[in-house]
This record gives sequence, C-alpha cells and structure tokens, in this order.
Amino acid sequence: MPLAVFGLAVAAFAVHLSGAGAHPHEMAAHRGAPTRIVADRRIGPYVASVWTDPEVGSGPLYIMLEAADGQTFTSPSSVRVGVVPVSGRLSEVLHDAHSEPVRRGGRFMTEVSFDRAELWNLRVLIASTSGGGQLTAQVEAKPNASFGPFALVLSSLPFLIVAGVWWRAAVARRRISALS
Amino acid sequence: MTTAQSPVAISSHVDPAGQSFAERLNGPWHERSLQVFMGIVLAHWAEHLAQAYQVYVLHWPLANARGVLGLWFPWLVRSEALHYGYALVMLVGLWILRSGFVGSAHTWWMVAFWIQFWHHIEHALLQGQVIVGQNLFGSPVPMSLAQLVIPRLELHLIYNTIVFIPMVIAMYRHLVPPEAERAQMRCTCAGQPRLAAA
Repeated sequence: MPLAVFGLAVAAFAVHLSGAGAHPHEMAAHRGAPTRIVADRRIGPYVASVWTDPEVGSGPLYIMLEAADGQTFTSPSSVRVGVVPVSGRLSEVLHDAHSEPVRRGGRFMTEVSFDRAELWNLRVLIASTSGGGQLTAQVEAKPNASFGPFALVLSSLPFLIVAGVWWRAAVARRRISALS
Repeated sequence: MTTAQSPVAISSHVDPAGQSFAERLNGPWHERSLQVFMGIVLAHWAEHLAQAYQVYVLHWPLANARGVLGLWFPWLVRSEALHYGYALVMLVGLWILRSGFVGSAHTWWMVAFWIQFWHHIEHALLQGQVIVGQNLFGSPVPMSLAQLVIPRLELHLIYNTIVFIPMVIAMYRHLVPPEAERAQMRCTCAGQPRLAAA
C-alpha cells in the first residue's frame, strides 16, 4: 500500500512538472488570480474583457477578445495598453500586449505597473484588418493585501507550537516512566 | 491502569514479526516516522520564515526573496515544484501514517488529511484547465475554487496553516493521549510501550 501511494505521488509530480503542469503563469496557483475590471465592452469588431490584479506593484494584464455580433473572429494586428495615474503626476506608459494561445477568440497579455495606490486611467487600443478602436476605463490600485511583517510571526509560530507539544510530551513521558 | 497497558499486553502489540511495512510504519516505527515527517513540515515552514525575513528584515524585492532552496534552485519556486512536491509529501505522509493514530488523535489527523486532499482537488482543477485549454469562470488564467474567496498570494500560507493546526492537535493528542486511547495505541509515541518492549 505505501508503495502504491508513493507511485501515485511520483506520477502526480511528473504531471505537474510536465508541459501541462508547469506553465509559467498558468500554474501560479498562489500568485493571486486576476480580477475582471472591464466586462464585455464593445470595441470595434470585438467584445473585450480586461483582467488584472489591481494591487500596487507590477503584474499581468489580460485582454480577452471575442468577435462581436456573430462576426468571424479576426486576430488583431496589435493590442496596446496605456496606463496613467488620474492625478497626472506621470505620463502615460504604453505597453504592447502579446497574443497567447486560446481555443476561442483571442487573449493578449502584458505586464503593467501601478506604483502607488490611487486611481489610474487605462486605455486599450486595438488595431486589425477588420477595424479597431479604443476602450477606456479606470482602475483603482489598492495597497498590497499581504500579511506584511505578520508573516514573520506566522512563520515562527509552528516552531513554538511544535516545541510546546514536544515539551508537554516529554513531561508526560517522564510521568509515565515514573509510574511504571 | 487498564490491562492493555500492562507490559505483556503492549509488547505483543509492538512485536514487529510478521508485520507489513505499513504496519511497522504505524507501529514500532511510528514515532521515528512522525519525527521525520514533522522535520519535513518544519523545514517547509523554515523556508517561509526565511522568505519573510528576506522581505521584511533584509528588504529584498519580492521576486528575489525565494527562501533558502530557491536561492540555489530558482526553478523550484518559479515552477511551483517545491510547493507541489511538498503538498504531495504531506498528502502521502498524512495517509500512510494515519492508522497509528487512535481516537480523537485519529479524527484530527484525518481532518488534516481531508483538507490536504481538497488542496489536491484544487491542483487537479488547475491542471485540468491547462490540459483542456479552457479556464473556469471565463478567467484568462486557470482558477481554483479557493481563489474565488482568497484571490491572494497568501492562499499558500493559509492552506499550510489550516492543515498544520489539526495535524499538530492530532500529534498532541497522540503524544499525550487520554488513558482510554493510550490502551489502543500500537506505537511507542506516548512513551510507555518502548519501556514495555525493552
């Protein structure tokens, strides 16, 4: 039985490390999932949704495209994303998004950076042979919701807990030895 | 004292003759196996402690704070091989060492096992989405169900914590068992059987 369990575990690990399992951002289960900040907005011949992680720092931004009104989907020749703080303290930065393989429609990805927790203007510019357009939206970058320095305390607790259990067990063992 | 706790009764429980590997792991070898298992668990927590220290004390950028092993083998962290390998070791360890636990300790141990099992269901969901090429909830990246509630980096730490807590309660109940449970134990973890066997 332990050997069978061990074999299953090795097989699962092999799948994880295979091309299917270890895709760089696909399997980043603990990196945090993106949030949809624009849902099904018409832009030229497309219906677009925009996903990103609206936290301070840099992270991926995805543009999901589908053909509008039952048209045939034509892949855009370029998808660009511009981000600029609403306050105007920085000038707009334009990023070229690259295409990623999907079964239906199109998915484009680029890395964007929100350096401060504030309101940002977002522009998605799409160009294609069947037309193009621009989509604008606003996104509020929030402070990173990490545990912060509390992670140090949290990571130390298991050592204290195990030490406590070990000490309590040692006391109980001594008592049992004395009794027997 | 019950009769089962008498030296003769206990030594017959821990006699390794004719025992299978699994029975030995949960009998005479249970104490040592649990020590090794807890060593692995603590080594994993030590990695997190090192990572938190790198970020919050040494002020390294998050991308460079890869714990200890991640410094020498960055791909371990990038590919999540370290995380998934550890999750597998946990699942296998929790399953293989379960029958050495009795009573309430067994209940708590199995709580930890089922939470860890769910963790693997989540991984299977993620891998399934990659293999099929279709993500849940229209997401551009594969999504796990827990990410709907906790869409943050801390999900990993939370999973480890909620598995660790019932596991350590089980260990406590196992090392310091109530008398009724001690009588059913086949291992040396709570102390007395080793004396009896000697």
